[in-house]
Amino acid sequence: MDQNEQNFDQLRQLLKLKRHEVPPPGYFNRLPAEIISEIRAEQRAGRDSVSRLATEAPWLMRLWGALEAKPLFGGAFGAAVCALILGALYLTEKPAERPTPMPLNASMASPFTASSPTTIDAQGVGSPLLLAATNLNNVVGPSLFDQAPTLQTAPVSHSPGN
Amino acid sequence: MVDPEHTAPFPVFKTAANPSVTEPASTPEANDEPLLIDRARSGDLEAYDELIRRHQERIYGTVYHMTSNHEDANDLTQETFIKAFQALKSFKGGSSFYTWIYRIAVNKTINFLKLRKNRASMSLNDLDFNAENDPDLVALVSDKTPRRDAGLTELQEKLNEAMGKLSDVHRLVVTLHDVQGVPHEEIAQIMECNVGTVRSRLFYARQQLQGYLSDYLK
Repeated sequence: MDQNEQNFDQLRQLLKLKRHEVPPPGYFNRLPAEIISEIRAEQRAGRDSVSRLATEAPWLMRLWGALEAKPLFGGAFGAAVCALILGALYLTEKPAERPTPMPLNASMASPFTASSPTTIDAQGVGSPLLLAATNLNNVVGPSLFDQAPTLQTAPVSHSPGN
Repeated sequence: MVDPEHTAPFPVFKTAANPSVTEPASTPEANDEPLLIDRARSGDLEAYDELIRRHQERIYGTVYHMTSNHEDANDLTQETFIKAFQALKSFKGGSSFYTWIYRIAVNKTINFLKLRKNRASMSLNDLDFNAENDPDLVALVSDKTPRRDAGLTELQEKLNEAMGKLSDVHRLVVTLHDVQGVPHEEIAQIMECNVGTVRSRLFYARQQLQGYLSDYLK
């Protein structure tokens, strides 16, 4: 290693130049004060947020105090929150129930097909309606279509070649 | 050649601001450090101010030589001391305070350099007046340039450029050992590796630097 040290002597002399690089005058007199004031500012900010929380949500502070004082209670609370989150996740990921297709009964076999009374009101009786996947089993009373005028149909004579 | 400062029973540092002064770590000042740490840990900012004053030059020096940028070094030094104050409760005294705080500074600096990577820019500090009278430096530049002052500034730029070409760990080991005079054993603690690794990294880094600066070395 001594031989290596000898080989690098000049380099080490050159590297001494870096020891002469100094920050602006007075820098090291100012630096501690800047750091301390930064620490004080952070402490103030921390205290402010805690005191604001204490005034705006005292129940949260009481809860926090209780959790801090009784670790068992804290653990149980944590487990309950986890269970809630897991339950919520399970419910949101469960596929929504598919609606049962609406049975077509005789009264709906006509070109006028209703989806719901509100749809009829909106679209009018005279226009063809689309079949919507709405369960009508709960609709009480006669449908408006029962009161709709029945269409008269007449046979059309058609002779090919005319 | 064995450098006497690296065989001292206690770490000895030359401060960046005053390289002619050696500062043994076993002064009465160092003896009251545990007390200062205890006071700072309980929130006494005056005690922490004193700790900052004792270590700021070394920490700033390390970060500055790693980044070659005064503004970055200033920010990182401040962040290091703030982080250290916040983490003071976790300091158990297993290592010395300066090793602990060095480690914080080194980790912060290396993380910063990883992020900065391709937008490195130098903002070098001025050389102090002692540089012109340093016999080692005078010998290096007097043959090459008629104006010694200009020669030193040029040399400073080339040296920093060459340092910038080293990898972060190699630059760190050169900075700590050859610039700041930290012994191998302390560097091993700071870098959390063994002494052999420190020595081999130092050897490789010096070889690299010697190649980059061959025009400036006889």
